[in-house]
Amino acid sequence: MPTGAPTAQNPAVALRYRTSVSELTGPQLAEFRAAFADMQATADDRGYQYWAGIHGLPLPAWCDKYGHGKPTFLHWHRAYLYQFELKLRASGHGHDVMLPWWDWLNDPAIPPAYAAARDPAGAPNPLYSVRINDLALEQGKRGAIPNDAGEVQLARQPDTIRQEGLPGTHLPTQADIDQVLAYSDIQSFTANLEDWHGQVHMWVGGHMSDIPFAAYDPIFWAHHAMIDRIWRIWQLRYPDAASLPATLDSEVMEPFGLTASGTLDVTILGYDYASASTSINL
Amino acid sequence: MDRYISPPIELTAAQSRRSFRRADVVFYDVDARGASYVARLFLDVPGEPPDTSPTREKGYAGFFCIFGHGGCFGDEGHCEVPPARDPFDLGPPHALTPQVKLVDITTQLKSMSGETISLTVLATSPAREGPTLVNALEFTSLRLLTYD
Repeated sequence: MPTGAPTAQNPAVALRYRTSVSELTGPQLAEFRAAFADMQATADDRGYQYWAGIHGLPLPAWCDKYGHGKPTFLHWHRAYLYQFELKLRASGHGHDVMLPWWDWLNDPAIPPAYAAARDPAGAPNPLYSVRINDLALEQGKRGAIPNDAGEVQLARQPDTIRQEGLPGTHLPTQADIDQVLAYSDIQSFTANLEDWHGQVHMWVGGHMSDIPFAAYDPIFWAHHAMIDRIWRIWQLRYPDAASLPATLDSEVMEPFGLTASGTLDVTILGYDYASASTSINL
Repeated sequence: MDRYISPPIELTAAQSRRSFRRADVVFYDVDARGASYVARLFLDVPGEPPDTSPTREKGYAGFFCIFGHGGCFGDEGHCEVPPARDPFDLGPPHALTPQVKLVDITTQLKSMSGETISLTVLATSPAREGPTLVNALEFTSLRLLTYD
């Protein structure tokens, strides 16, 4: 089994694995939902509102500094998911969970785990929708461009909504992503993958299509795990290619405290991707 | 769905007469402060470009996507990019510094033979609840790059 890179503080430990959401077993999904519910119930800077807000509102919108239209799009979002995942695992009394990815290539619909308003026990599904904090909504009302009806609708919807598959929106196909993976230089790969990433945001619609509120929708994390996974696949395919322009090595991915170069090796961050991951009791 | 269609832009594609390995259209200083939108590029498309299911047969050459900031949520001037930076400012550039977008049009351009090619850009935003598409496709210059 691969292990994380050992350091003085952290001898080599077994990696954790992110898997496809469609491969989660019933108990794994229940644990993941419990972790989300605990994080959403936490009101301080370990909680869901704080971490979702880092992307857009309340200000500052950190993702615009490093995460969109920038050469560190992949690096900033890897750092973001890494820190979010640590907080998710530590929420409540602790949960043995990892962020799953939404494989929109093979499952071109919102995964059932996220699409159902209630879980199998009839309780509200914390992966379905999240109530956005008042400060973010207030800032959103103040500055947003209105829609065709002259209304700022998203900021008036306190609970996240989706409007998947509106006309003109598309999910990428396997051929599209194969074409992206064919670029052997990081700049072309990043630019093209970021563009497809944006198309998925717009296909989901609702709050996901809007930077200020996108990360409040729980599907955001599964979408970005998929993007991060594709980058990991690219890194394995081109092991000798630079994953970062050298001038950006020491660029700090604020507010996460990691440098861009510090995000390059997922095994140092303690995780990797697997088709499925099941603990076997002996 | 909001949409904006650019007037045809003539690309003098002298390079296209030679063999090339790859061709990109590069948009400089693309404004990302507004709504999210997808910009689809069409070459020599007769009439209006289609807005759904674009195909190579209809001149579709590629796209870029702007995941837009969605408006300005700060006080006046918050989203204005300063024209010049303080020479001692070692931090990252302004968050809303205009972007460079690159679209690989190799496949479509290889199928064409004319010296001058007409580029039409269709910008669409699925604005049912979100912000209206205003000032979409705002950029300062455009370049056609071919690589041997």
